[in-house]
Amino acid sequence: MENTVVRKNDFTKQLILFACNHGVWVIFFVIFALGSSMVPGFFSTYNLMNVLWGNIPFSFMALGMFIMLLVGETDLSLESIFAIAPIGGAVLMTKYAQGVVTPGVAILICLLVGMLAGAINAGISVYLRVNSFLATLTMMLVLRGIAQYLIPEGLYYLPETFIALGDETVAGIPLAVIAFIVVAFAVFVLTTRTVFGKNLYATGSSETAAYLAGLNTRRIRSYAFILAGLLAALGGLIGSGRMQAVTADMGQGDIMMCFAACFLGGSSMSGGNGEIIGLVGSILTLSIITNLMNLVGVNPFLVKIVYGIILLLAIIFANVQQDIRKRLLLADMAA
Amino acid sequence: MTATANATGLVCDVRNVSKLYPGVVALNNVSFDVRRGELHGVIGKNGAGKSTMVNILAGMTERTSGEVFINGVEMPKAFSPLAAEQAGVYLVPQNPPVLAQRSITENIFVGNHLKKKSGLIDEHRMRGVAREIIQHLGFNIDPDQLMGTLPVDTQKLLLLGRGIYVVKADIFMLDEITASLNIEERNYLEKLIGELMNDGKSIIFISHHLKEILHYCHRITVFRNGNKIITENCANLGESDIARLIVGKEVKEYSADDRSDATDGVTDDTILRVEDVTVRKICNGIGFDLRKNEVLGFAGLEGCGKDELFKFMIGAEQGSGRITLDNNRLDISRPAQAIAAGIAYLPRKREEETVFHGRSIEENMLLLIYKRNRSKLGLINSRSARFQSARYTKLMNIKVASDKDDIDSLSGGNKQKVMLSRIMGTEPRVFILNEPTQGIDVEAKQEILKNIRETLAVNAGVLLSCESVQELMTVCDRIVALYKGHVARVFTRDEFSEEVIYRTIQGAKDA
Repeated sequence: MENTVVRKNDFTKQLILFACNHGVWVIFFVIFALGSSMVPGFFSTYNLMNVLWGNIPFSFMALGMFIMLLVGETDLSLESIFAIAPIGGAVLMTKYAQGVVTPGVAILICLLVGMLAGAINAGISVYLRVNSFLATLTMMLVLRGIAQYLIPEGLYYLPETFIALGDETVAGIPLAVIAFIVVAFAVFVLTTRTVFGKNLYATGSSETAAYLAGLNTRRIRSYAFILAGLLAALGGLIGSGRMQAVTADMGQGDIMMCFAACFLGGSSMSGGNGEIIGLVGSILTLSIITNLMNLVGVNPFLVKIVYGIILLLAIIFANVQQDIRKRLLLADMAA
Repeated sequence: MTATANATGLVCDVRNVSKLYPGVVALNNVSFDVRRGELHGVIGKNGAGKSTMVNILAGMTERTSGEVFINGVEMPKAFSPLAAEQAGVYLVPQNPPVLAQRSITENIFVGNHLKKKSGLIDEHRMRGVAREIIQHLGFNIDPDQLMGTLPVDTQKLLLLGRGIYVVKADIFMLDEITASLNIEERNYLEKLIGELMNDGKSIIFISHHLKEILHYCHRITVFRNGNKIITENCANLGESDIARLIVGKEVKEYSADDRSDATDGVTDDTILRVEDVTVRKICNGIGFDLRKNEVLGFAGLEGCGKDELFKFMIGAEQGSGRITLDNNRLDISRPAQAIAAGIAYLPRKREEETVFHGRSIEENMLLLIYKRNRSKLGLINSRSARFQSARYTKLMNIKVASDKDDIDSLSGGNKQKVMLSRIMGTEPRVFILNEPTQGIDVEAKQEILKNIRETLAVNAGVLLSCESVQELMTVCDRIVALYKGHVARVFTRDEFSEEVIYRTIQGAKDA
C-alpha cells in the first residue's frame, strides 16, 4: 500500500527553508561580493589565505563550542583550554622535563591536557550536576590563572616540530588550513553519519526524552565535553604555532565570539540544533568582516562595537529563523 | 451591565464556544452558564474538555469561536488572565503557578501590592493582612515562609484566599482542589465555600470524583470528548447516572474480539512478574503477572501510582520491588538497562518526554536502531536507514511526505506512531505504553490500538494505560484497576464493565 502524501512539496516554501537553513552563506556571499568590488586589497589570494590562516585557531575553538551547544551545554573554559593546553606541552618541553618531553610528546601532552580539562568539566557538570555555564566559568578562571602562573612572560622560540602545524605550508597552503578542513569534515561525518552524532543531537533536543528512550545521556554529554576540550587544545596548538610562541593571554575573551559564530551558524542555547556547514559559513563571514574593517581602517575600538552588534544580530537572526520555520510547519498542519 | 446580569441571574454565560487545535477538537460548540450564588460542578474524563473550558474563562487559552459573557459583559476573543481577574473570574489551577522562591505574603499580593503614601510597598501591612488570611483559611503558618516549601494543596488554598480577599473575585474556578486534602483541610474548604455562597459568589467546581461533586454542587455539567453532554440539577442525578453520562456509549470501534486468530492465544507462560513495587508512598506494593501475547491494561486516576510503577520498572524512579522477566530477576537502575533487558517504555507526555523536537522524522524513529544499520567503517548506512524507516512507515501507516522532514510537521497521531516505531525497533519482550492514545485523533487512535493488539503483543507482552477505560476494554485481555497505589481489582475479559471499572478506580468498595 502506498503512503498518502499529505502535503505538497511547495517550491517557494522549500526555497525559504533552504535560505533559512543556509542564510549565513547568503550573507557571506553578499559581503564577499561587496568587499571584493569596493575594498582594494581584499580580493587577493595573499589576503584571503592570510585571513583564513589567521582565523583557524579560533575556528577550532568554535568547533568545540558547536559540539557543546549541540548537546545542550556550554563550555566557557574553551578559551582557557586554548591557552593551557599548548602551554602545558611547551612548559614541560622547555622547562620542567627538558629532553624527556620531545616536541612530538609535547604535542601529545597538549592534546591530552585539553581532553583532561574537558573531562574535569564533565565531572563537575554531568556528575556533580552543576550547571555547565557555572562549572565552566570557574574552570575558565582557574585554567587562565594556572597559565598566568606558569608563564607570566610567555615562552618564545619554540622548536619547529611543535609549531609546524600552525606555521608550515604545503604547496602554498598552510598546514593549519588543511588541518581544519580535515577536522571539520571529520566532525561533519561524526555528527551526521555516526550513532554518537545522532545521540548528541537527540540529547541536546531533549535530555529527558533521550534518557527515557534508553540513551546513556551522562556518557554522551561527558564525551562532548572531552571532545570540545580536545578541539580547543588543537586550536591552541595551531595558534601558538602561528605566533611561534605561547603566551598566558592566548584566546582570552574569544569565547564570546565563539558564541556569536555558533549562533550565526544556526546553533542555539537550547541544544539539538546546528550544522557544521552553517558554522563554517559563519566563521568565514566573521573573518572577512574583521578583515574588511582592518583594510578600511576602522578604529580598533570601534571594532568591538561592531562585534557586539554582530552577536546581537546573530541571536535575533537565529530567532527569526526559528519563527519562519515554525510558521511554515503550522501552515502545513493547517492545510 | 450589572442590570443584565441581575436580570438573567447569570454571572457567567458561555455561548457556542469551540476550541480547535491542529487535528484535535478540544471543545465543540459548548454552551453553559453559571448563576449568581451557585456552586456548579463540572465533571468529565481526562481530555473531555473541562480544563480547556476553564482555561478559556481564565484568559489562559484563546477560544476559536463563540461568545463569553462575564457579569453581563462580553469578553473579547483573546483576553489576558489579568483581564479575567478584573472581570471577576478567578482560577485556582490544578498545578498552581506559584513564585516558589518568594514568601506567602508576596504570593498573595503579587500584582496587588499594598502601598504607602510614598508609593513604596507597605511590607508591614501586607504581612498583617496575609497573616489574617492564613488564619482564616485555618492554617498556622508564618507569612514569611517560602511558598515553594508548602504542599501543593496548601498552596492552592492560599491562592483561593488570594482570590477571596485580595482579588475579590465573583466567580471562583476550583480545578481539582480537593485532590489530596486531609479531613481537617476539607472541613475548612467546606466552611469557605459556605461563606462564599452566603456572600452571593459563584463557584465552578471541577473534579474527577463523583461523590464530591454530588456532595457539594447545586448543578452539574458533564463533558465528554469536547462536548457538553448535559447540565442538570444534582438532586435529579445519582452516582451511577453521572458515571454513565461521563463514560457515554461511544461507537464501538476496534475491538479485541475482532483480532485475527494468529495473534489470539494468550498463553499461560508468564513472561513478566512484578511483585511488591513500592515507590515513595505513591505505589504501595503493586504486583501483577504478564503472560506472553497478552495486553494488560492499567486503569486509574491521577495519583493512582501507575506513572511511578512504570518509571520504576524502567529504572527512572527509585523504589523497591521485584521484577522477573523470563525467569530472570532484573536489577534495573537506568532506562538504558531496561532497553537492554528487553523492556521498552513509551512515556506519557509525548511532547516533553518522547519527541526530539527540531530533528527529522527518521532520526526520531531510528535513534535506537541506528547501531544495527552501520557499514563496516561504523558509519550509518543511509540506504539501510531509509529502508528501515520506510518499513515502519508502511507497517504503522504513518502519513509522511519525506522522512527527512521535521518531526513537528506531523500531527499528534502520526508523531505517536513514529514514537511507537522507535521502541518497536528494539524488539523488546515487554512494551510499557503509558497513554499512547492521549491527545490524538480518533482514526489514529484506532490504528494504534489495532497495532498494539496485532503487532506489538505478538511474542511479547504489553502493559497499556489509557485515559479511557473504554479503549482499554477494546484491546486488553485483563485490566488492573489501581486505586491510591494499590491493585484494587483485576478484571478479566468476561468481567469487563466500564461502569464498574470506573467506580473501582474511584475507590468504590461495592463495585
